[in-house]
Order: sequence, then C-alpha cells, then structure tokens
Amino acid sequence: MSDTDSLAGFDYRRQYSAKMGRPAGNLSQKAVTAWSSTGPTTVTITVSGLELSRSWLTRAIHQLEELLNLPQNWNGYGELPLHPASAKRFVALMDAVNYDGPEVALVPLADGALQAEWHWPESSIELTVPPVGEAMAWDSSSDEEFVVSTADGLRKFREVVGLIPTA
Amino acid sequence: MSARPVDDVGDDERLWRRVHSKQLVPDGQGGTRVSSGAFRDPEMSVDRADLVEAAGGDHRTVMLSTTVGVAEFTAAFARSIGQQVHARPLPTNRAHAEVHGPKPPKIARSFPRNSKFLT
Repeated sequence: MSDTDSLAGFDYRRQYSAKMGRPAGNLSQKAVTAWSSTGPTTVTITVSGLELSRSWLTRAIHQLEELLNLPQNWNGYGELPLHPASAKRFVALMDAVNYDGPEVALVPLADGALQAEWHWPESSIELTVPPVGEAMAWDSSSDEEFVVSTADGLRKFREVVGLIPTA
Repeated sequence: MSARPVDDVGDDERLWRRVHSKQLVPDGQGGTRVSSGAFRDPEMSVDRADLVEAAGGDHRTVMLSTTVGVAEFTAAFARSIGQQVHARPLPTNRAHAEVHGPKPPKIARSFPRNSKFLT
C-alpha cells in the first residue's frame, strides 16, 4: 500500500497548532485504508496524543474511513470522492482548537470537501473543509459564516464549538 | 391548453433530488435530518417529477441502492431563494434539470426545510 495523497507531505496539524500558539507536543497517527479502482491507499491522519484519547475522534475516524471509501459518482450526480486532504485538515482543525465535545456528523460534499455538523434543539454549527482553500464555519444562531483557517478564525471557532451542549 | 415545452421548467414543477445514506445526520433531538450538504452544489442536478411520472415512473425510479429517499421541492421555491432552474435533458435522462446558484449554508439548509422527503 502507498500513500497517494497528493497533499500528504503537508503538516496541517503543525500549521493550525502554530496559529493557536499550541506546542507541537506528542504526535499520534491513525492509518485509514481507502479502496479505489487502483487498489488500497493508506491515508495517515496525524493527531496529538491527547486528542486521540477523545471519544468523538474515535467515532469521527470511523466515519472518515467510510467516507474515504465512497466511489467516484457516489450519489449518481458526478460527485468526486472525499479528498484525503479534506479529512486530514478537518482533524487538524479540531485538534488545534482542542475540541472535546459531542460527536460530530460528517457529510461528504460533491466536490471532495467535507462538511462537519453539530445540531441541537436551539442551534446548529456547520464546518466546511475543502482539500485546498479556506475552511468555513457557519453558526446558525447568528447566521454568521466565517473563515476558520486563520488564527482569528480558529479562536472564534474554538469559542463557538465550546458552546455546543453535551447530551 | 398547450403542453409546456420540455426545456421550460415551470414554477409549479416538483423537482427531485436523491439523498444518499451519508447525507442523513442526527438532528440533535433523537431523530435524523437531511444534511444541507446534499444541497451545496452550485450546479445541482435534479429530476423533474412531471417528466418522470409521464414516462410511467415515480420518485423510486430515480433512487439508487444507496439512496435513502428523495427530497421534493418546487422550482418556485428554488427561484424564491435566488436560484435559477434550467432544464438540462441528457441522452439517458430526459427529466434532468439543474438548480444553479451559489449555495452558502443558509441557502443550502433551506432546501431540506422546504422539501418533502419521499421514501
């Protein structure tokens, strides 16, 4: 098996953690296998040792493995498969904001991006993470959409997800 | 009354959009909801219900093995939120149409809220 992710060499976690002023700390890696017409591919997701112990991440990794195995045209409308970089960026963003909240729902988008969602009776938060370009978050309570992949955006996102009620 | 031209999508027409099993998410109240992620494509494909039914089909005709249901909304609704609806018949699917326009989260989320979910 080989890691064919074209953006595999980019350390999203280090980039986002630096923006948050967090030390690199100890790293852990989770290998996810994605099957395609050319065979299996290993997608390596890097997280901090602390984050790896969190229950939301265990469930998210399982979801990502399922989504990374969706084929081209997975809903019959010409969709692209989930791009591995979208998955890696998502985990790196959550790691950078030290997320330790409820489980997240992960949805593939037609262009290879990933959408993360949290819903509770009063509000919703949606995070869109493309393989390249700006990650965006939307808070339904304020109907505000903002760029996450900047230092200010990460701090704001940390505040927003910190308000998600636990079940 | 003459029949509507096939390339003219009327406001009253029902449009069907397949929902994949991975596009259903927990709603935070013990149930599930259709994710706005099913409606983010700026050039979103749909099927025109009238044409599918005229050919003897129904919403199940457009479903695939991974489809959990079909979201049904009207062309008038899509236009009311700034989208354009164009007939785009394909050699293999005369009923194909597209809903054009940017779909930021608030717009995308309004589709499932204004759709019937057919299973």
